Amino acid sequence: MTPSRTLEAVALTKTYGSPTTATHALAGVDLTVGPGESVAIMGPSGSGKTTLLHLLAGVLAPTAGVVRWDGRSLTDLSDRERTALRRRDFGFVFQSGQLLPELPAQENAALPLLLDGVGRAEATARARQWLGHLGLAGTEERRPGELSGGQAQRVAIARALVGSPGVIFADEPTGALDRTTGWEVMKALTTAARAQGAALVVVTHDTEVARWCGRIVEMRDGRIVRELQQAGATS
Amino acid sequence: MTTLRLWFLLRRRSSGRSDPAGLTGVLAVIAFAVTTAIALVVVGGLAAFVQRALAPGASDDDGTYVFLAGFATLLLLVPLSTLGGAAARLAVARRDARLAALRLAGATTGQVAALTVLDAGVQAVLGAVVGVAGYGALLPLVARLSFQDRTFDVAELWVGLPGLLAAIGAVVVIALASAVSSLGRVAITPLGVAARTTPPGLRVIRLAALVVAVVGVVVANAALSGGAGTIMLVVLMAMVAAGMATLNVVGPFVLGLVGRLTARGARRPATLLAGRRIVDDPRGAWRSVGGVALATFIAGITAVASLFGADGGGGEQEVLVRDIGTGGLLTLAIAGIVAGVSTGVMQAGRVIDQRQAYRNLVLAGTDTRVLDAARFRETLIPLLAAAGTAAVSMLVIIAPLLGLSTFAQPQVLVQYVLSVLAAGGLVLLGAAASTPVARRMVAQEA
Repeated sequence: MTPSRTLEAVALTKTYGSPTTATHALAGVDLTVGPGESVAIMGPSGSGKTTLLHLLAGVLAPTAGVVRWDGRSLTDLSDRERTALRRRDFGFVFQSGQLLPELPAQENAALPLLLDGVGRAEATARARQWLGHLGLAGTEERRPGELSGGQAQRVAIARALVGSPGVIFADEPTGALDRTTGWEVMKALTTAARAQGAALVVVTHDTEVARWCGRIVEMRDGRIVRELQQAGATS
Repeated sequence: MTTLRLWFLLRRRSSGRSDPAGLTGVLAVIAFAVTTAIALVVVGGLAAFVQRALAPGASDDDGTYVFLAGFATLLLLVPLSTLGGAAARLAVARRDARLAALRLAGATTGQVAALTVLDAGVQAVLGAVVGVAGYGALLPLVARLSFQDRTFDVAELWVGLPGLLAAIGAVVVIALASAVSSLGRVAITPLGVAARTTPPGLRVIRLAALVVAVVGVVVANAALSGGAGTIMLVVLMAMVAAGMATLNVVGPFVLGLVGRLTARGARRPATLLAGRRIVDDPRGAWRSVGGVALATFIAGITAVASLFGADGGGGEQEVLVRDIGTGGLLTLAIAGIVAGVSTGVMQAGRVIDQRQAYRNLVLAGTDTRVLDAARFRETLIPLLAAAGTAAVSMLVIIAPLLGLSTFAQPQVLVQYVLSVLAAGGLVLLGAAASTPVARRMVAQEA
């Protein structure tokens, strides 16, 4: 895939529950994430950060508004097409790695490629390459239970990057890590995304994490209340 | 606050069936209920034969029926205990987060252990009571079976109040023993439970049991060639029991090996996941399908018995041989059902255990069909390995006694294959039953 595509959200709203007990998680959000751009979405609990991330990634469908990726509306796609899109064009990093405990590191990292039909030898070779880039050479055969929190999170980053995605979505990627390890993980994530030319969307409540991104979007009550460009993002 | 009060408080605050712990509780109760109901049916059947043997005018053949029913009961105790144990492990093992939170809040290891054991005990009692009701519902059906040319009276199959209380007590004891044993293997710290590491491979020494068994077969065969029919029957039963014991030692080792080979040669992610999961817990995989190994053994004996029954000859001997066939099919059906329920319960427990990883895989674009296929193969591969191993062992035992040609008879072969397929089908049905749980977990979290 060519990492030169734009992710665009227009007038997004998301409402949960019935009309009488409706909760408005998002109330008209516009956001554009350009190729290779890094954006941190911040805000207090319940502000709509994770809902926005799920809508941008095509996990949830908006109540109103549209999300476009590479000019295509995600809402026009069938569930199967959106699943395939997430597998091929997007990468995901979650709070505590969420690796499969039975698989060694290299197979966890290779999983998106295997799921997309890439041959095992090639998928594993590419995964090993990414593990090497992320300083994990020698841990390929270890299972998640034998890795430290930081190592497991870097395996998750390798898994997110191995399919050469256009956008990487990270939901509180350092939430389960100590400060030093979190710093190392964010450095690995932003450096690798930049090297890949992938955009990065990070949901966080941690200003230290947000400093790694070129733009900070602050949310409150389902709306974007402030946007801040960071000329000198940590790197 | 006492541990008991704390337990009551936590019970009241339980978030219900949508809570993973609540769902595992429901599964555990179902498993305890099936264990109790089937155990009571089996013991009730044995009691009925004992009553017939003790009745005035009973013949020597009545004693043979008691022996055979007792043997079937002993054989079925293995998968029933496995199911009871699986239910207890469900009651204990899926409470990691809650137990860790309690430790963090200041509960002692002893308090946490007591709470867990209380949970398992209460679920066992609930399940056993439901199982007693199930036994009551099954009685009229079982009474329609014909042995010794007559059907049962419901009264013959009724184990009485002491029997019911003993069954409930036995299920609770199994649950508590398994709960305590499982707790011993889990280090519950305030930060959670111990993370899983690469499991050590099972030792090759297990294969020594196979060598001992083969030597035993050869010796027994040589010593008993030309022996009387009854002695042959006793020896055959002893060899089947020894064969089952050997299989339970060798089976997990074979599955570990099969899992490694599967993972190494896997070309599709579903097969890779299945292989890795078998390697992760070969004993668990064996527990899940071990009932089919038992069923494969029983199917062999039943099929051979059907051949002798067809020879005719009339009289009590013909009835006995025919009844051995009926009893074998009944034991086979029970073993298949127990194995199916065990598989369903274990698979569902695993899905609940890994719900977060499942959810995130789906978020990241994994087709749920791949996960379903992985779960299916996780059962199918051990199933084929268990049935294959048991079939070979069966031939090793039967062939020297009755000749390999016995199995070449179309009637024997067809009945044998159909029986094994039916038992295997029940296990696969059990695995398929975990699919709605998987869907629910993914839908609930996404």
